[in-house]
Amino acid sequence: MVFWLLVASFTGFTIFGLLWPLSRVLRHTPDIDDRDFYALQIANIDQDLTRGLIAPDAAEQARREAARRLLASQSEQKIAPSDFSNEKRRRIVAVLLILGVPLGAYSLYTYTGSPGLPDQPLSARLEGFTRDADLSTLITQVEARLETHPEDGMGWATIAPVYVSTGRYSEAITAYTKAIGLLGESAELRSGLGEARMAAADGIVTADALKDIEKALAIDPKNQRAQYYQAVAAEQDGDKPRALSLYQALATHIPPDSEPGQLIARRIEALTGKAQTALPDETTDQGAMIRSMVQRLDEKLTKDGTDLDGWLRLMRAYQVLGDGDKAKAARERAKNAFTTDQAALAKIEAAARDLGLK
Amino acid sequence: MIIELGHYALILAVMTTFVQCVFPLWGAIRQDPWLQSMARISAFVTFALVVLSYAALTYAYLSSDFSVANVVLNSHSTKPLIYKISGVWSNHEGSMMLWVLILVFFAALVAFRSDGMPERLLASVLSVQGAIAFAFLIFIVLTSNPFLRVGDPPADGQGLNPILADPGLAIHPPLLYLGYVGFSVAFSFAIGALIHGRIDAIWARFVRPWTLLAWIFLTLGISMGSYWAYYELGWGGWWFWDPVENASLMPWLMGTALLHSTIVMEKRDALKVWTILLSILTFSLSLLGTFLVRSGVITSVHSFASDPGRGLFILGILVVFIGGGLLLFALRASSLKQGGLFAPVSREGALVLNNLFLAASTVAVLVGTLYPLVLETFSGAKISVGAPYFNLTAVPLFIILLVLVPFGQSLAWKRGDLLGVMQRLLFAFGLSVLAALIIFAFTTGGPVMAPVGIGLGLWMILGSATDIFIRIWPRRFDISHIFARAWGLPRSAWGTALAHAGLGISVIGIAATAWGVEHISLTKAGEKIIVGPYTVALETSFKRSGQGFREEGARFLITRDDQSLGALETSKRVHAGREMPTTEAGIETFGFGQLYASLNEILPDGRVSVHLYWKPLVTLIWGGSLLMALGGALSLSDRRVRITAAERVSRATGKSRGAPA
Amino acid sequence: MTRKQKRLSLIAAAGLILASSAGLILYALNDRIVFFYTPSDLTKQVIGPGTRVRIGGLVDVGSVDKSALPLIKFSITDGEGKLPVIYKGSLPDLFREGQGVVSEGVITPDHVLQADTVLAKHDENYMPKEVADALKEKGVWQGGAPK
Repeated sequence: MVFWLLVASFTGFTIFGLLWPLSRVLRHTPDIDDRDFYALQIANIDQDLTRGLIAPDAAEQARREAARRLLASQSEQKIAPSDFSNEKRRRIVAVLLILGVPLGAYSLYTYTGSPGLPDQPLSARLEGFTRDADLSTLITQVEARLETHPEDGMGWATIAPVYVSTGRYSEAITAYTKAIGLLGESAELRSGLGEARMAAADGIVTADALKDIEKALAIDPKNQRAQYYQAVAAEQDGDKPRALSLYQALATHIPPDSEPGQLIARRIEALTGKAQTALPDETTDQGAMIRSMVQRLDEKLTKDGTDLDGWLRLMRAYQVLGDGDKAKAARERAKNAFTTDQAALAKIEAAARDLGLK
Repeated sequence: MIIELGHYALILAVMTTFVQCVFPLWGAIRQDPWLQSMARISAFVTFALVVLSYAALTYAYLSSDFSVANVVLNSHSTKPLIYKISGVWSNHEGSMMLWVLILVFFAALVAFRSDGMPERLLASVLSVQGAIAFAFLIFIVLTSNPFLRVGDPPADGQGLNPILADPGLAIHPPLLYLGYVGFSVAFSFAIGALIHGRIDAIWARFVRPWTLLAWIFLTLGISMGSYWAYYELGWGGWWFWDPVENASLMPWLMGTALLHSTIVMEKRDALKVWTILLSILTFSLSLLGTFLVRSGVITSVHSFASDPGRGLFILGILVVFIGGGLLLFALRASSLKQGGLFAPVSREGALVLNNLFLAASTVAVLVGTLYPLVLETFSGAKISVGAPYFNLTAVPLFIILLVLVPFGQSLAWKRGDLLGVMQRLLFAFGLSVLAALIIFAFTTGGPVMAPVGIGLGLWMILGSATDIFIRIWPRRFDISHIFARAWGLPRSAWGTALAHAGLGISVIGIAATAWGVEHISLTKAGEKIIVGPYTVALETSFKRSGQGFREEGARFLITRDDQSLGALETSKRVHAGREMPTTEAGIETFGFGQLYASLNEILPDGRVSVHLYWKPLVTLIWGGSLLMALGGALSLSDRRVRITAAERVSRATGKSRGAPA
Repeated sequence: MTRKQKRLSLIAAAGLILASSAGLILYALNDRIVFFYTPSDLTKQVIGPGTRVRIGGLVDVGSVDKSALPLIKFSITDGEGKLPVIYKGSLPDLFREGQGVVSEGVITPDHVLQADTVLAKHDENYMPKEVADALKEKGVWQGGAPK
């Protein structure tokens, strides 16, 4: 709201500024015309002459030429009468501006902009999650250690995912490769390598990436990251049925309200052609079922309030169902259940912030 | 919210530039003073909006707001402050923002300094400026929008291309753009005058300070870019005849021609058609430069941000403005009245020669730059046109031009006395030739062109000195008289002399590169390498990390005649967020020359492969160009070049002039 | 001099300068340009000794030999042909095996490029345009358009 008020005032000031000269009583300042110019030129010649910079005869000649040109320009000047009385034209311009500028600016802005999206300066985002030290300082420290101890496999394995998350994909690939070389094969490292390769290829599961993913699955068929990317690969190959069955198999192991769970759910929806389902409401069977599940969770937590994850899920569920008041109440109840546990309280607050609970 | 407001301000600026383009022009055609007066205010409003928008983008960089895609791609939270600021223009989107910021800044400046300018001319000029700004703003908003957001901000950015993380490059693009874009004012004046229908000495007087200002910035920008390439690329070269460099050289050559032809037009009311044409062509070449750099049509050592799709858009802008400008010129040029007459041997004649040589060398550079493109399009053959071509075409033209400069400087207007001028310059000429001969006799093995170049540079310097000397030497010798006359000499005369002498100094620096020594060696600690007059020995190699980077490098000790003269450090640096290393050259200045070390590789056994150069007098190249810019600034500060309201009022006192209602 | 003579002498001077610079340009374009080839072009085309050429391709993986530093040996490949290069000088920072490179110099009788210039792509996204075109033709490299 504040944003749109500011946008409106920007627009208003702009139009006001542009229209302002139209309402003025015109005060005509004299232009520099030929008389001024040649007078100045002649004065400069005189100045040079008194300083002895040019010879007297040259000065006389230059002066004569300036005078001649002044006369010539005077005789040719035809001053067209200025059109001073056309008020109708000014009205047209004013109307065009008042209508055109806001309309044009609004439509162009809604086309290219992200209206109202808040700034997200790094400092504010960092407050969101606890971070003992600056991430990049940590990276530099680990890098420095790895430079002197390149045989530290755990070091490579630690830094590799950090590289992925900071977008340094080719370094991530190197780090994973080294970690695998030093620590031996593991499903976790292999699938990580596959992920890094995929990220480096702008999200395309390349043949190399797929090989890594298949290796990871050979070691541990239950590795969820590998399973997920296998499904993505199938989807990118255009093998929708296989992708769907892989996603669905994966979905059974992952809590649907966790972040990966939601990701998978979205993929499944996309593949089955279902549009993003609107918020389930009580009128449908599905909505009723979800409501009753939430209800059961609520009852369970009322009896036994020690399940922190349960509380977080409950808050999220109420918020998703559009029941903000119940979500807020859930937060308060959760906080009461963990009055002494600072870590748990922080998590509850963080989750509430994520959900946008005030 | 700041970012989105910045985005909105940018879009409002699209609207206001449209207003600035259309309504004042309508007013100029219809002679409606109200519509004409919208030009000035819309230039100010546009400027304010673009400043807001640019500030918002800078804020996004400073606060490391990674919800802005442009910041993610080009910044990193650990970057030092100065590179967060320069990061804004180190990439395509931001540099276009800077381009437009400077464009609307110039428009606002024209509006601000417009006191006394005919309203109708001002309206036409600002309307053309508005049109250019509108085209580029649309280009930014639709194809290169720096305010696009990402939904899920990453933890850190991908960093600024480390080759660009350098103080030299931080100020190079703004200077270059101030030059490029500054010529838009001359262009707008030319188009405005063609619309307006009056082109005369007064017009030249209005346009000259703008041309001079743009020329100063372009001179500084090119010189800074050259120095950046010299020490940052680590190749020891300072000019590569690279398309991107040529792109900035061409408007400079044309702009230099324009600078000289406006003088003729102001003083003698001659060369009108030619000056208008030059104004159009100079800015056209600036636009072409933008196109070449931004479109990726040409391979270049400098092209770090280019995209064919955007190139097409810029090509469109190019066609509209250059084509439109030239069309208008063709339609209206015949109506221009010829001005003052002059003899072939005269200051005007010399300036015409200057213009011809500058134009011819621009054509040579243009052909060399575009020929590979044309040939590839029509025959498929891929070629590269490099230094040998330019040395054979542009360089001889430059040399003849340089020989002529001191004559032109000393000739009188209208009808010159060549014999008298030759007599006056005899001393300067003799001394330069003598110096060249002595150098030629005492250096063995060096190329012939080096002494010739030194002589040529001296000739420029001494010629300028002679000119000043003759002007201030009184008929009767008296030391106080000399000071009085030197003080009385117009600053533009000092400026001209300084700029020409600066050019001479640059020429000397360029000529002396022929005596440079270069040495690639694989060396171990303590081993002595002789580089020119100096001895360099590897002391140690090191590894260390600094703010946002790690590096490994080597340290060399410099001695001359067993005297220790300090150390050289050169390294390979890896910046956080990027894996690409950069070479940090080690440079130590002795007198005007420099010892230059560029690390190739440090072997596991501790031996170091290094490229060492001794470059005598090399700093004169950039020192000379700084003097040229300083000369330009001195001319600009001459009140007789600028036209001011105060002057007009003082001039008009006594003459009561009825102000039309 | 009359008005006409003055103008004529100007036009004559302009004509002379423009004609001679046009002549210079044409001569230089015939004589001072360097053609671009890929290694496999060289098997079909005979290059006279002493003619400067530009060769572009990828640095052959495993071919970089720095045993005789400061002399550097490597090969340029375009998937079909391969050309050994000898170079003494500083390699650009982005010179890597498997990456795009353009090298300029003279081909010796024993079919080695004696290079005096080696250019590599200038950032991670950038591939020299001629190299990209040549490799795309050969199908070795399937990147998008160079950014």
